[in-house]
Amino acid sequence: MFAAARLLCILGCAALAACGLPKDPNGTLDHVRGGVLHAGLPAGPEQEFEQARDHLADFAASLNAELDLHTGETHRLVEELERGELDLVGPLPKSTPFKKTGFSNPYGPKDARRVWAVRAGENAFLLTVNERLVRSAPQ
Amino acid sequence: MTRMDPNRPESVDDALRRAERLEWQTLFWLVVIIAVMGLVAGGSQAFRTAWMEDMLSLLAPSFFLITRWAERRPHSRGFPYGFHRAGSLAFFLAAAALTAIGGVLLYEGCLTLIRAEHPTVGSWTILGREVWLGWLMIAALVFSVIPPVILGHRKKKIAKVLHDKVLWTDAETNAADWQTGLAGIAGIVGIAFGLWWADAAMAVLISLSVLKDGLTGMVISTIVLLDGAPRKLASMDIDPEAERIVAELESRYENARIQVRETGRYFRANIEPEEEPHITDELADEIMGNDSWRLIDVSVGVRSGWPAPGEKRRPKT
Repeated sequence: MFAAARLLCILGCAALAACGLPKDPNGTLDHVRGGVLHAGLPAGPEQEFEQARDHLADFAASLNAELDLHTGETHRLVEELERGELDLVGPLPKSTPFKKTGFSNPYGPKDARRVWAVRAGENAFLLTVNERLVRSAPQ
Repeated sequence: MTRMDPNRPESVDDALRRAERLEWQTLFWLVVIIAVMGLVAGGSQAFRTAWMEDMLSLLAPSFFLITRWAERRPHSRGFPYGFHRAGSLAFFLAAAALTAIGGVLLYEGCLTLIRAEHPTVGSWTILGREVWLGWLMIAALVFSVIPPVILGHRKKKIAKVLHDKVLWTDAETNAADWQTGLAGIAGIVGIAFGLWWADAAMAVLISLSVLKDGLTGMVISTIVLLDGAPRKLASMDIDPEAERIVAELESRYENARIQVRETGRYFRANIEPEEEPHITDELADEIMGNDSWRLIDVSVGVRSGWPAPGEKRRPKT
């Protein structure tokens, strides 16, 4: 019974994913895949920054995308994200106060959980971020 | 000491017991549904509105059960008429809550539409793969309509036997729950197709149905609380049973104005001398002091037979 439900669930999700659902209202995933990933990386301690940059580069490569990296102050990056000039900003602390963006699943050590911010409502891209960026994050 | 719980046929008592059982089952299933929906509640406005509606549907069954307890309580010095009308009051309160929250939900839905807020729905890691939360929300919504729709149809039948407006309204709301579920699902499917506005639009639709239920309930309970003529179960038309009582009594008494109202599940009729709607000042003065103007009516209950139809006796006053 459970095995059957499990199989059905997996098949269902596979079928839905094959239809390309969910879709992004602003088509982020479509323009990133095989195109350019506009990512914002907040300035921070060098080791952390470099680790995150490599991580982002791997993510971009997995989507055959060129990485267009912006760095700077978190607030400004998030504003650019809200305006649609960036596709992705992070890593941010899980308790981040920003409200108008979507957030990935949290990852990292318990006392320093991190999330990635994406444009609000870009659900296909968010799903991809959760699949590839969050789950491959250095723990 | 009179019994406040009047005699009823066994079939009615049976129906009351079944109604109580069904309302307990409704409460149980609603709690399960609210918990399951809470587990997957994500960024969809339509889903959250449907969730709120399910929370609100806890009110009617709870009030029905409280009313069943209250209406059986004996009359007391503080409540000489007993508590038959507790249900009408509860109905009014539930309807007012529905109206208020329906209004808030409508406002929120409209605001989301106007601000063009795009709903973000994330994913869960299940069995090592990312599952979009929207699919889980749809599954929760499908589950959420099954128990209420089944219970709603069963309660409707009993409500007809009992002529119980609270039970009827509750049953109708439950039976129509599939519409809420469908609207919620449409909202999430809309998000899946990248149509951000579909979600807010469905939220508005659901909130309108909550608001409508609330306003209808307020009208019905206001009629009852203002001693309006008894109405049919599902409409504003006057109950033909009540009209029959009026006609029958009119044929037996002359110069009489017949008033029929509903207290809880019971009818009460009053025969009033037509030319003298109120007692005279002298009579009132005899038993009251300064404020005798406040005493306008003294009634005697008919207990020992009435004139035959057509005989047209004057009511003894």
